Amino acid sequence: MTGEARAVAALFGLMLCASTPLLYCHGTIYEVLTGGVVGIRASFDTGEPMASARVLIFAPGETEKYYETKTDRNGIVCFSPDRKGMWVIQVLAEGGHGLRVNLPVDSSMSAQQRAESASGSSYLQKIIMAIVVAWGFIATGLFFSRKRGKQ
Amino acid sequence: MRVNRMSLLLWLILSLSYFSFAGGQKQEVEGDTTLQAPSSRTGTIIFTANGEDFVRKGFIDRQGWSISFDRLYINLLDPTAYMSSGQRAVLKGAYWVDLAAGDDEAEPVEIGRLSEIPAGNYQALKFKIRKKSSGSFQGCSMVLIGRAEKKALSVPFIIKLEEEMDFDGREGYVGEELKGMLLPGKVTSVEMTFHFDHIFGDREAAADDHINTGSVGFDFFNQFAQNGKVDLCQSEMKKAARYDTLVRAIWSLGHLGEGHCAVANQSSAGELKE
Repeated sequence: MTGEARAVAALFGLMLCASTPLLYCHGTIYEVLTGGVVGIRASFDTGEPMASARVLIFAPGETEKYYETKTDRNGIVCFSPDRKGMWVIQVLAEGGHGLRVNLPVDSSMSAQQRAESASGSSYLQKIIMAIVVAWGFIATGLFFSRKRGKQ
Repeated sequence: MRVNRMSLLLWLILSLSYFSFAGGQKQEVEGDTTLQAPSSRTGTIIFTANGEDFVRKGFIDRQGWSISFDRLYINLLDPTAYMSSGQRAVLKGAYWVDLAAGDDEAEPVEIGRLSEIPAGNYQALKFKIRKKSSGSFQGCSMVLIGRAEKKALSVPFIIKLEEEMDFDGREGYVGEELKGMLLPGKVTSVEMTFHFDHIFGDREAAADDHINTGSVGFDFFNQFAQNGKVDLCQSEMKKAARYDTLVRAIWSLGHLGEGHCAVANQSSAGELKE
């Protein structure tokens, strides 16, 4: 392998390590409901719904509980917001599992489709990163095939 | 398709630049534990650590041992509360905390607080576990001191762990309270929670529950007992069967209430079997 190729490979490895997600334990996932309701569907990362889990809902700008309920057998919880802003939903399931969701509600009392993530990267950033990494693989492969063709 | 060196070099420069700034513009606030008067758009964040009832009241492990703790030390480094926008509040320093301090009803242990922090939703919290650099238990990241009892047996133990790792609870605290939501002129707390039942298991859970299948129980440590006492370091356990299980359980200790944390930079990561 030439010196240039080694340098490219090393840079690739460095960038892949930097973007590799951290190791996660057993986890939970959720999706924001659509169709005119405000709520979420909570599941374990195995796909099993977080059924009959305790739910605490906090209103925008408040730190005391606004409402308490439970998820249904499909892990779904809905509520009727009375103000716009960022609502916080905390789901507590048996066995020490839970999740926290920040759900933005607009002035029409509708939930925005994308709940806030705490990761700091927007979806657009993630798409751009994926394109950049993919192009890197393609470009490097073409670069080396060009070199082999010359030989 | 022709690709020349210049275009490849340009791509490398662009992508490195993008990855460097992809996290967004970060504002970082560091501080010590000195209290200051809050202004109208700021508040105070209190950093706490919690071993929960497992540590304060004890429990029955997966093998039927009754575990109680006199002391449970953990060395925490640079706990950082942060928002999705990148705004951070860093409590700089190393903190040797006793999670068993106080009585059965004790509150989570306060480590320190930062004042005049811009208001916002600091739901995420990350922190590091590091070896103590000096003093008693130097070289240890966690020390468990207590007693295990089963039938007629009563075994005092000092278990000295050396594992280092970073926890990142980006999903936020999950529990009875809303933590990290800092309103102007107010105080909020953020909590690093440690689930030590992950090491010992729990008799109240089913045998096939992950809390038991992923734990080692006190029998693992009791195999090293001498003269009726257990007193050992992590390095002495490396050749024991199920040592890998112990280390993976240690990696799962960090939580924010019931909220999970990602773990990274584990010091034993390269030593375990796949």
